[in-house]
Amino acid sequence: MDLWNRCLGFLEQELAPQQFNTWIRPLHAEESSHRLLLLAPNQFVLDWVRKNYLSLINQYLTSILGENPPKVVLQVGGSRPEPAPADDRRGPGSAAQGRGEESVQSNINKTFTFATFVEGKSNQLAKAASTQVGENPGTVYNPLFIYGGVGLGKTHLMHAVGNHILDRNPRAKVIYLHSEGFVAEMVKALQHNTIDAFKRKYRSVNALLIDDVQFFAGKERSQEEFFHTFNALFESNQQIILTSDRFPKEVSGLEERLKSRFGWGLTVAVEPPDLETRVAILKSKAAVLFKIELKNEVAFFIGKRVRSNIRELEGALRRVIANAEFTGRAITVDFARDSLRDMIAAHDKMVSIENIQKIVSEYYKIRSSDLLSKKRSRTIARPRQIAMALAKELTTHSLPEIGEAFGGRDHTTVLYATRKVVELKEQDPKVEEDYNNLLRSLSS
Amino acid sequence: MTADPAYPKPGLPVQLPLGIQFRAAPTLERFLPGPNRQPLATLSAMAENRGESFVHLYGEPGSGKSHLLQGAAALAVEQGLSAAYLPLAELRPHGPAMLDQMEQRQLLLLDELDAIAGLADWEEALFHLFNRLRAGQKRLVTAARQRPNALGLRLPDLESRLGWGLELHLKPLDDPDKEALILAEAERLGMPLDTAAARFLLRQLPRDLPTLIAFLDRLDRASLSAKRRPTIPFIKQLLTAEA
Repeated sequence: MDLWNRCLGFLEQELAPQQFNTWIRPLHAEESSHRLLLLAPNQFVLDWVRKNYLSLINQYLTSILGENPPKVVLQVGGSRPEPAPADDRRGPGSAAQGRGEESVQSNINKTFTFATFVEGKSNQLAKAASTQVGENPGTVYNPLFIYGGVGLGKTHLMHAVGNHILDRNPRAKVIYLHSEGFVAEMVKALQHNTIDAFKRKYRSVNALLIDDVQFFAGKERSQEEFFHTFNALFESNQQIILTSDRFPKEVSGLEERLKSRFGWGLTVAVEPPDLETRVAILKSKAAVLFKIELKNEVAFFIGKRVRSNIRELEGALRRVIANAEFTGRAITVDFARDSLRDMIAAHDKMVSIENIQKIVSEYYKIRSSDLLSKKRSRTIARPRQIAMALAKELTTHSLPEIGEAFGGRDHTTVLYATRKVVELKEQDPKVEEDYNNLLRSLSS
Repeated sequence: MTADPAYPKPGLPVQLPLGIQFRAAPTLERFLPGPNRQPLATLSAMAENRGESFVHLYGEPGSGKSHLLQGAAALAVEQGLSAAYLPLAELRPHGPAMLDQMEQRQLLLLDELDAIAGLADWEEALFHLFNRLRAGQKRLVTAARQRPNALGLRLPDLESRLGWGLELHLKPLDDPDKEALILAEAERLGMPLDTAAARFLLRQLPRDLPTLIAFLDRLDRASLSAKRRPTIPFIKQLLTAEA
């Protein structure tokens, strides 16, 4: 590596640091007596280096080695292949090579199990359905379609089913992949004329777990292939589990025949967790991921302030714990407040009554001033009631203050509105969804 | 009127400084932490393949984000890791193809994330890249002016993933730290700047680091060119000439 190291030293002097770091550092070199092979991470970097730096590299090599410098060859590629991640489970197919079977990498994350999944009101139906599928794959609910907002545990549940199937039958072929992975693999198979092997691989599994199917949108060839895979698995009673950010019928850019098939089995939602569940999640994450016991009051403190999704909850917890480890201080409520100060400040700044009125009126496509007006038509009154209920939930203003901020209304009107919204959420899933969407955008 | 030694009259022989100097590549060693010891320690560990998997650094322009990221890239390569540093503002015109297969790097450092917020193709490409990095247990550092949920990202899936890791705020240096940085930088340039002159600079110039450091470069060249020490009167002349 001497030659390339000398080259690096030269280029570092010649180029601006940013250019050097962006284009030269990512190159991996392999040297032989007559050749300097430079591996670029992708075609884009390769083209750029060839166009902008290759002649400089050649000039330098000639200047130090005379007339016969090694030939510089640029290729796309990485350094030596790295071992598979330690917590991946591999299906039996990976051991089955040589017996004429396709290699199957299951990609199941073994840390996502039912045991580490915190159940609450917001996800108990999805958990129950997933458990059933884990016990009886291919027979009870097929496909199982789990939908909900980002960071609410859909992927965790999916892996938990996969782990459960593998625990009960270690020889089962279970594959997890993101929809983008399916598309990328199919494109590669088409390029390399291995589409038959691709089809065999996916049509011969016992359980296929595809995450975020909304990213199939607009990719017609992939949808068609997935359609046939789906049919093959469904007809042979093999389990299919899918997740998405929305109800199957509402995923835009998907063919109707796929949407309708997605609804053949059971469709379950996961909702944002309530406070008690958030607290339980925080305590569980602290124990499982960080091996610490989080005090209840700290968990409540964080849980009250981070409402949007579980990833953000984990991010907040990570920040508190990293700060504690760095400073050597104990994790108390005051310490957590200090660690999350700017997160909390941004949250408080965002959740003003004025901001709630703005977000709600944008959501319902009405004017903010309508919320303050005397108009009583349902198209105005319903958003107004929802905005009042959100103001009560998300701010610390008193009911008279909230009433005042809504065009000088009485506090009993606010009280009536919040009770009405609770009632409506129970009766009408659309109202509940609207409310949760608004809660999410105001809390994130 | 006396001649301005920093800008000699046209026609007179002038000693030009040698070549065009690029700034020395940023290293973690040269990062003056001030109140930012935790970000420095976190990135140092990541460059040695330890500690956090995903970190988002945020702070005002000039707070040292690019320095830390480039320094971490340099250390990672020194440690035998594969690393890539991608300044997204500069790469944006070329489209997200730049991100292809970047999950093969053991440490990926994405600077100026603000530049691609709101661009659907970039956001989706980054989202998929994040998933592949996570699946391959690689490490990612992103940097921007703001926290992920204040960047104006359109893809909630991406926003929530960026908020999953450790968020670290790079705080601005206080005046004594800036003074120490000016003196260290002058020493690196071989410019004999004294404490009084460093304080003078802090009082006279906008106090963000890029401005201060760019001025030091110009001061260095002017002082070499005029063969004069960078004293307060010399600095005053340069400032007047630049005004």
